[in-house]
Amino acid sequence: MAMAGGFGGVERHLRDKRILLVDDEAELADMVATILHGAGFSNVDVAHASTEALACIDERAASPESAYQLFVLDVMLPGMDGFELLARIRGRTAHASTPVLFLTAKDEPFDRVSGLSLGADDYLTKPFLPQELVLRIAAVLRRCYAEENPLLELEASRVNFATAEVERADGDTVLLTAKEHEILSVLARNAGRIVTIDALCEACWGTSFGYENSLMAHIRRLREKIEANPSRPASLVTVKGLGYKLVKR
Amino acid sequence: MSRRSDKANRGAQTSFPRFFTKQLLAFLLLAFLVVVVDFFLYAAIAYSESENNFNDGTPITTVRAVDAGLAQEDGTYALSPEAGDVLAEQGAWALLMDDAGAAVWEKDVPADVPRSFTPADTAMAAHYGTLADHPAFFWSRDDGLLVVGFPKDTYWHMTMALPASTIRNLPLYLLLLFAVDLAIFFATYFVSRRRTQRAVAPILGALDNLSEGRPSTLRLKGDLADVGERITEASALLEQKDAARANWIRGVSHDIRTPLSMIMGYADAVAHDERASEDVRAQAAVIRAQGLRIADLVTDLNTASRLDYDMQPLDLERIHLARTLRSVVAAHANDGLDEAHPIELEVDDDAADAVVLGDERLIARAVENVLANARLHNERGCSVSVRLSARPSEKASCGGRDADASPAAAAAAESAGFAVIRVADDGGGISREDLAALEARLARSRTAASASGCAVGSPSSTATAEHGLGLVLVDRIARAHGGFIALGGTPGEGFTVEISLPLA
Repeated sequence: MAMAGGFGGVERHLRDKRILLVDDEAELADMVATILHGAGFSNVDVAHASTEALACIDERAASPESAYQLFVLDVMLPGMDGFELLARIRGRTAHASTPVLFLTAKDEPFDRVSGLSLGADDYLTKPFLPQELVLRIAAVLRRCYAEENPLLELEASRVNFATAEVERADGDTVLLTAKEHEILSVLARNAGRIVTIDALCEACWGTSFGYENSLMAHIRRLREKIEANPSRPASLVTVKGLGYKLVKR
Repeated sequence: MSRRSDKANRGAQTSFPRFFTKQLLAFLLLAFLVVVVDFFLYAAIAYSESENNFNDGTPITTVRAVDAGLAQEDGTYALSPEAGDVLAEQGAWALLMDDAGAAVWEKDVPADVPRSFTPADTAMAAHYGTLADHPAFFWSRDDGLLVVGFPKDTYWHMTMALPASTIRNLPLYLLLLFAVDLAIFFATYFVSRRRTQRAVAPILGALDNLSEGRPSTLRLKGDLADVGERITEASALLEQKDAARANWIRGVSHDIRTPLSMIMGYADAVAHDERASEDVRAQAAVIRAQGLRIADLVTDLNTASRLDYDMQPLDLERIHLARTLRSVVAAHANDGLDEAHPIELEVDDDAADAVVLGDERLIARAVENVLANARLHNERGCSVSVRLSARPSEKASCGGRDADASPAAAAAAESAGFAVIRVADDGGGISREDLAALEARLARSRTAASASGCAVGSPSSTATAEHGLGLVLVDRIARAHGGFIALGGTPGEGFTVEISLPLA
């Protein structure tokens, strides 16, 4: 069956990332692979056991051109479980920092904590909806692999993250400050989704306490730079009571 | 949860002593009854004895017969043959003493009996009722004193002399006797009662633990040692069963997730498949939505089971409630699945920094459940408003609502007040009867040993059945944090749930 693609639109530069999916349930693994294909990922391999996975990894790790760039691991695997597999993967120099997303049927905080403390980048609890999986994978990939074409197209401006320049539709070019750059990148990584003020503060200041007013001030200045009419924002919109959302053109 | 209600304690602590008091009083009554019965038995035996021994064939009749049969003729005495037979029958003998103390007539008198008596002899014989160790009975006649003797050891004779004052004081003595008896009774009663209470108290405590689902180990000394052992055994058995049940629920909730992932995944694929007809896509969307519902139920069941069996202690940390609510509501909005139920979040200024001590996952779960409840009951859509406010610790403001809240909640209310998460929808609302049924169900789940068990039990009305485990779990989570929930709503004007949590 073909999975309809285009969940939130995965950027082209992420679609050719080499992904290894490890799940002992063959049917589920097939489905996840189908979902990923449908979302545009063209380079997905499947393994059904830890040993098989390690063999694939070692075979591909010979060349940086073929090494995996993302692992999606089930926790409950026969023989060697997902946590142990992760530890083995992390033990290989080629994959010391390759992103890992756990797919788990467990719903207990202990598992989340142990998974994340082992160095997993995210986890997803079964049952999950396809778009959720695609969103998480895309988010992890965006975080870990910088965009080759760092241009953000907005309603009234174009942002170049490499140079921190904003080319406005009215012809002006303004520069982003470091904080503005940081805030805008977080919003851009989650474009089309609400980012709560807490998540923004945490990403930019490391804590969610006490920076709400600073955040509002930065957002105001950002709007002056990227919006045609800062008091009626079209790109950086406020979601009342929750946070902000970046709308791409 | 250590905050579970102490419902059973008061009942048990009065009922056990009452039971033993009744037992003791029954014993005392029995003792009294025994005395009464003894008295009547004594009277009956005495009566029958006197009937047997003192009417015919007894000393008195024998003496009378001899007296009647003894006559003087021409200076000599002669006994009628009938009287002689009576004497012979008893193996008795007789003699007649004149006023001077000499035997003037005798019949069958043994050799060891003297034939002449001084007045002193006579007095002593009369006093002791014996003549030369023979039981003897005396009868006064005009011509002397008739003595009838019986074989040795056939009769006892007793004389009694009591001071008149003793007899006068007899009622007093009886009263004293009675009072002392009564004092002994009551002393016994109180001592036994205290001992029973002391012996029973640890048993009661252990049973309370059991009834509240806590393990209890009981080591008793003495006679009740095996009761303690049995309670300990029962507790271990219950614990085993609980653990088995919790493991089973955990296992099922784990095993169901993978197949559910596939159902939801493929249903979602069909729902998005442009080659499928509109109808098929709509149906697939329904399958997907129901799959999500099952996923929610499974998570609830697992959470409830973990709360019940204290599988893991609450993961308490300082939670910035506004932040938690923003993340829950934003996640819902970001899902983008549900445009029919827009959610708005409003945080009061004084609650913007509200912090509670709690398990963030559980609190998020509670809010998600309330939101899911609103969606479930308003399929055609409604808007939901979530509002966070702070309520200072005023007794009046929380009056009535927190009647069921634990003492911990009351204490918390006195210290810092409550943070109130109010989730209101503008949907179909709830009828007064259904609201009452729902509240009754929540109340039942509070007294039931387990929330997961309650969910499995048969709900009494369709309204409560529809609300399922969701709100029960919300209530459970609120109470686990020392808070409580309040429901409200009128038909046509929406439904509200208020979760109050004590501020840290």
